[in-house]
Amino acid sequence: MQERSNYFRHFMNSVVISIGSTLLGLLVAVPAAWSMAFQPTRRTKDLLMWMLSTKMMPAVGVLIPIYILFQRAGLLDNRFGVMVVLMLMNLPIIVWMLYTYFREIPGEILEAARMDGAGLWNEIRHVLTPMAVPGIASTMLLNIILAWNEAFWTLNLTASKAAPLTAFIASYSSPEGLFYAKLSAASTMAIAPILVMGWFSQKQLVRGLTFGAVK
Amino acid sequence: MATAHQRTLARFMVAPSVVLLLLWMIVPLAMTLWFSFQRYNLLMPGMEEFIGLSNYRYFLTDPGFWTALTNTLLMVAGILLISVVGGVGLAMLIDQPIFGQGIVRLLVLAPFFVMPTVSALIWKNMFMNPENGLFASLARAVGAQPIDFLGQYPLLSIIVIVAWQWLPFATLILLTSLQSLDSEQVEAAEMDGASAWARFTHLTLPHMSRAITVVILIETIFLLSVFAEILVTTNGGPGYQSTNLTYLVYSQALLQFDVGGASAGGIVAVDPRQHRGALPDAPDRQDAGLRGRTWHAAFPIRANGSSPSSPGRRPC
Repeated sequence: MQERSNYFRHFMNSVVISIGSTLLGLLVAVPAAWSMAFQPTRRTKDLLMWMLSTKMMPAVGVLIPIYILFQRAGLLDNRFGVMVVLMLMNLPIIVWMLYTYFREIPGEILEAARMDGAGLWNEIRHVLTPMAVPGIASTMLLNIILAWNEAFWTLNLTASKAAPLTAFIASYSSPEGLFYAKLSAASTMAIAPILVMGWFSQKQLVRGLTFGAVK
Repeated sequence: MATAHQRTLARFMVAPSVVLLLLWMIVPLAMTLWFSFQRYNLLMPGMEEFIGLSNYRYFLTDPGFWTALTNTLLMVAGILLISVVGGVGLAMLIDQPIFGQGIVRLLVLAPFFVMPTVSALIWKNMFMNPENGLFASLARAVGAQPIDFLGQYPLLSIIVIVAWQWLPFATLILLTSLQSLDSEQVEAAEMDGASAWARFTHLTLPHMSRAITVVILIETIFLLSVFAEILVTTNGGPGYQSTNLTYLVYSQALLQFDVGGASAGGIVAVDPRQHRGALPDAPDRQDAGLRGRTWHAAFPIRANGSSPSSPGRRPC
């Protein structure tokens, strides 16, 4: 019984962290991708490349300061802290993916709406939002998968209270009684939801993970 | 077309992402750099002092560092080799029209969605365990001595485990690219009497070259920081045999509490010079060299007017 409530807690941590970091990321990335796609400037291209290049930095380069800052701020083993880190880590991917989706919304539609006298608000609400929703949805799906499986920051920044399933499963690395059965059960339950989501999002996955280079 | 008002709004909308990413990159990196010049051990609070390059000297002369560097490069190279070669093969196999193609595709893809700690533990306990593992049973069935994979070949074992996760990724991307290959071209070549091998080297491979570049780029980013697989299987051991740079820095900082030394390691790990071998240049504008171009070719951006490189490339 104890086991089960523990498992449930870690499962919920995974859910909260992956969905929370995704929503936070979208909150920041949607406006950015939006304006880059519809109001591109000369610097847009460089900006996107720069964002991509932040992904090239190995996480160990910033592990120590983040760890110490989090320690001081009391954010170690805290769900919100992990959420923010994962959000920052995946932000370039979210922006890129949204950007490639938004680029496909034809600009003519906007002009037509403007001709018909739609204001900015109406333009966003009745024309753009319906066309952007599929792109946002698949970005969300991919990002939840990435955050769910993330195993560098979650292992380093959490101990028990906020530990998601990645960290919980890692605690099985030393064998004990009834071990295989438990490990199998915990593992299956940890990967099942994401497996299902992954199968649904194959196509978007290619696009998201290659930053739109392969479609 | 855009009014000044709209342009201000656009800047305002981009700003949060840029500021956040800047903070995320610059502040911690600057702190790492600062720590790397200090004697700073979490077990000895109040003893911090500036010691110049000592941490670097210590870190770079540590035999563990060179082993870790070699291991990192071997790991990236090995996994890339397996996933690109295997990925091309698998993609071509799956591309054949067979019964149950959809199911096969899903199954091939599945390992990519398994979280790293799960797959590493499953491999460790159920396949590679010298007493109860599947490989041990197979070895015993044919009368051979079971091998303690993680004990005797730790680096190779980890390469296999991580490659198992990334092979599906390569396969998926290469398959997507393969499916856009014009089948009429292939048929024409066939009629002209081109052998299967010639069709492969002259049509299929060139067509997939961009996808292959992308696979190499993306996988390298992730493979430089393999961590969880090492943590739950070998803990970097025996000795330093399966320690990579990421793991070395981790153990120095969070197991030995040597913040200064670990920071020096972190700075060495992000030093772009050592990635040059595997990665084309990060896209800085000054670099008009070939590697810069490969990068831009792999990630074309169709921003308005600013991309002269792709005339007529736009889908109409």
